Amino acid sequence: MTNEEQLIQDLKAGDREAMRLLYESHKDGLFTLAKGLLDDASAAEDVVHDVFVSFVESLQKYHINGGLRAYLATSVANRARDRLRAVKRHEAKPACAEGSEEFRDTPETQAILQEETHRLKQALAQLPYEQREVLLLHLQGGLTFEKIARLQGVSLSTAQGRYRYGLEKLRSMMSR
Amino acid sequence: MENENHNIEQQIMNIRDKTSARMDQRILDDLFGRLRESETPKPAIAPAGLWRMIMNSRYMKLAAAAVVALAIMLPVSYGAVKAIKKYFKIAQNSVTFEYSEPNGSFSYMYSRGVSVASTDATSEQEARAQLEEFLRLYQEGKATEIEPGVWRATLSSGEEFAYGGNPQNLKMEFTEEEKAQLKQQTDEIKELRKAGKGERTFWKEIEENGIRMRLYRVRYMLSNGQAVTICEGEEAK
Repeated sequence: MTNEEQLIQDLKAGDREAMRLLYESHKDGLFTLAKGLLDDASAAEDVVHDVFVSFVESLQKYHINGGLRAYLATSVANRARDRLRAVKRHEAKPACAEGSEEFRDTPETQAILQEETHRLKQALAQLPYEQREVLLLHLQGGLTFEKIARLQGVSLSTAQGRYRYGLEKLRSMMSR
Repeated sequence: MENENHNIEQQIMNIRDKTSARMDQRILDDLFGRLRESETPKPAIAPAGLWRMIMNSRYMKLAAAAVVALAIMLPVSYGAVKAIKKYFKIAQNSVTFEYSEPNGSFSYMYSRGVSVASTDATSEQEARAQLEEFLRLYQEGKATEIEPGVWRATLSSGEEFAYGGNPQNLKMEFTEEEKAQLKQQTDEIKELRKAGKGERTFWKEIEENGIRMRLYRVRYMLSNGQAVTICEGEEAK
């Protein structure tokens, strides 16, 4: 039995420490992914919260199929999209909403906001959503292009093309 | 250029946003609470997708309509099915219990149902056949979970059939045993409701036949430790 399978088994048995371990192992990765997709820290926080809650609620029917990281990353992508759709319907979001003051003031965030990373994040936020999604799901979420293509409902070559175009645009924006 | 692209890929991989301690606490508290709930034994009669409505008897007709609408919203075939032409409601079943109280009579309705979004079915009969074939394939282990909570199988017609929800819970008819257990559960909910022992949160507002209703989700903790959330409706003022 793999570590992941053991973890799931413990979770199904209601083990709190297993829950803490699951959360600690994936929280930053999922938060980074959600924030990259949504460009909004508060919304990203809600998405991560929802993803974990939904995972716990469907725990009894969960089967390992492609890995937990990919499963959770896919859930983040689905929820981020739902959220963006809802936002589009209800309000226009500022391009660089940074989230709560509390978030901005943490020492970790100060470090993150170093010039280069900050520029990269800004550039990412300017990419078309589909390209940003492919880049982040592949590089941050660890999803294969096949899985991303299925998630986006496009062919493998389209997903790969979006990845290439996204990278090219980023390179061009970063070199300005 | 390839090197530059590689650098950018590395930089994206290195981005790491940290969650705050406040966020961690909030989420972990919630998860631990839910973990406790999931440990409690659940009766076989309360699968996910079973909706409970409590309505003033004046709105019985509306309650029925709303329940059907709610049931459709749950285990609906998912977006993986392209170019959906029609939805078919399959086997909507409900069981109702009525109670008289000093301030009016109340009905508790339990409803179960599923809708099939089909690309090629032209009748409810065909949609039902597709659903049955999907369930058979699921039971034979020939369906795959393509996204969290979304199952897909290829039907003999070649069509990809996707199902959102847990197919194991798709039982169409209420058995006599289920009805008896639901009655017992409802008796307890009724008492809890009378005593005001429920956590009520606003869900949404709907309109049917010119009547606007406000729907709430109310969470009751039963004596067996099971948490039950019911949908409660009242006329909007």
